[in-house]
Amino acid sequence: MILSADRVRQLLDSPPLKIEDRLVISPVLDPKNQLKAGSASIDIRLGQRFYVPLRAKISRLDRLSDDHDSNLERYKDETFVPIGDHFVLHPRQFVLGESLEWIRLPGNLLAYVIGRSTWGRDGLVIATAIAVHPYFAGVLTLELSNIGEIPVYLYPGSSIAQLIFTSVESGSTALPPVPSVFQMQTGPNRRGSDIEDAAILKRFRKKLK
Amino acid sequence: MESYKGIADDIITAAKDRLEALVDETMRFENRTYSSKGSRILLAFVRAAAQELDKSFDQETKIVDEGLLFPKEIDDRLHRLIFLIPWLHLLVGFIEGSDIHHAPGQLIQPLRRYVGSVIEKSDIIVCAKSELNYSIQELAKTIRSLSEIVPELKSSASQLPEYLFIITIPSVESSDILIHGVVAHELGHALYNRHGLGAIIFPDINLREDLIKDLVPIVSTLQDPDSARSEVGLRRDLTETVAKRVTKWLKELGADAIGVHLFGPALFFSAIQVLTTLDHIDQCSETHPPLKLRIKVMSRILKENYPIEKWPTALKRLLADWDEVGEMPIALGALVDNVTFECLNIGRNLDVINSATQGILNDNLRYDAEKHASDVERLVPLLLSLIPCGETGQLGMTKSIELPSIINAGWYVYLCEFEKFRSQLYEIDRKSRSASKRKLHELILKSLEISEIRLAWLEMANDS
Repeated sequence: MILSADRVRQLLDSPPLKIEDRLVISPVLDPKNQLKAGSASIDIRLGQRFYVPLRAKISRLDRLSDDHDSNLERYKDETFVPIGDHFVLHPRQFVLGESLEWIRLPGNLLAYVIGRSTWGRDGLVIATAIAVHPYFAGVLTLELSNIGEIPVYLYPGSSIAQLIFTSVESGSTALPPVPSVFQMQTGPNRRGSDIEDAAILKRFRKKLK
Repeated sequence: MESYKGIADDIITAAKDRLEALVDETMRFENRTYSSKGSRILLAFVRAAAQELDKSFDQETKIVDEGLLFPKEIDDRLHRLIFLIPWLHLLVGFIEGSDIHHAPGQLIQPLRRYVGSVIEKSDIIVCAKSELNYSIQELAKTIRSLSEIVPELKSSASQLPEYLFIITIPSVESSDILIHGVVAHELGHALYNRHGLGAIIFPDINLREDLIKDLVPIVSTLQDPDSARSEVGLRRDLTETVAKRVTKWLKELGADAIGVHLFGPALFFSAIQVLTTLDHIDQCSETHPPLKLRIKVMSRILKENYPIEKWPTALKRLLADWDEVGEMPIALGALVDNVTFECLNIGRNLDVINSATQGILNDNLRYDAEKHASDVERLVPLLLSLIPCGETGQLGMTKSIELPSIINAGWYVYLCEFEKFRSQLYEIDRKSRSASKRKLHELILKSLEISEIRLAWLEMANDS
């Protein structure tokens, strides 16, 4: 079931006693506007850090290659844009941004990140990997891309996306709090480089050669 | 003097080239992002000063052309301006190190606010440099006094805040937020000078004329017989040397004491980490007392102001171990160091240092046992649940947490609950101690960011 903004407000306002059962969104700078009455989401803001790909320094992104992790380090330039300043996202440019808010989900909630239509109309695509799983703790990495024709100014601190919460029903046992690869994501992140079944896919590739 | 005119022209041309390069460099820095407004103010000052000096050199060319001055007079006139060029370069170095990519923006903004609350009408520039060193220096006063000598600097100097502190941190460790707790010691220096604590504490120090007198015959035998000083002269020199050393050592110990009153245990923990890996524990210099003595002062102040017996075993043991080390004899090299050490007599003078340093801080600024206990109770559980501790309270009524509280909560987790914190992390972040520590630092940086944004947002919302 999708949670209304009012229910999200209740969860933030009167949190359960046990910290691990709490939904945390910090900071909510303007609760009235971010949790609009009658809506079923909370607005989240753009954070201050961006990872900008350095095309001149890398030839490819190949998740099956052995040097993928070290490639990733060369691939990015971390930029800090303080609130009040802006980041110019050019047409067809892709960067990683972050949410200003730190999100921590309890075991019974899952969230979806969805772009705000205001930005979408300017050509901005905000997130493609949109599910935030139970027990996630960290800032959200936003995959920002300008599919429009003209550059877009991105302002850290502005409401850029929304989170929609839905409850998760567990089976015979409750979901255990297993730390995931995205746990403690403290900035725009390219982590999670291991693709599922990489070893099997590599064997397929070897066979073809 | 025609030949010297040519030389003077060459000197002026070289100086003007340098100034032009400086102006170009400031243009290049214009597009960078700085977390402190102070960097831009300083940048504008350097550019204006370089342009003013450039104009002054044009004036000097005319004066040299008149041919009325002797070479020495020309040199003196030119040097009055030339000596400022390397100094402007030094300032450019500070600006470069304060670029937001070098110095962590999440730390500097709350630090700026904190320094502003400790010392009114001040601004800071945090400069990350490759040297393994923390330092603080006040620039505005220096610039203002220079502008009295060199009027060309006056108009640009008038734009500076009353106090402009340059705080340098090692760039390699710029993200290791916990050890930046030593900044409290650097702030201690600023407060020690501002409140003239040296003049308050020094009269209570017994200069131990008896020990200085005993030194005279020893030093006398080491003198060159041809240029030997009289016994009276030697005694006067030694008294002066010891007094200077006592003054400087007191300044360091006073800054440590203020640091403990500002940041509580966090200053002690970060000072141990920073200092024990820098110098030999017994090493001292003309300006710095041995680390052992500094640790003794800090741990004693902690023991007097905090209920150590109620602290967890890990902290109690750490403090007890260092306390024991502080009691061990110090192997001081020079005889004057021994006399300086005896003069300071920490066992007797600790109360004087403690109360004088405590007295300059109001209750809001002073970090104390009550705040520490409350931070451990409220903030540590948040960090252990991977939640930043930048704000607490109900939605719509949340309060920002202050910088010393966040740093103290971080140190507590690191020293007492680190394994518990690690167990919450994903396997890659648990793989090594340093990887887990990095995650803790990142969580604390996020806490600082949230704390600052919460306050700044409110200010902007109310500033119609």
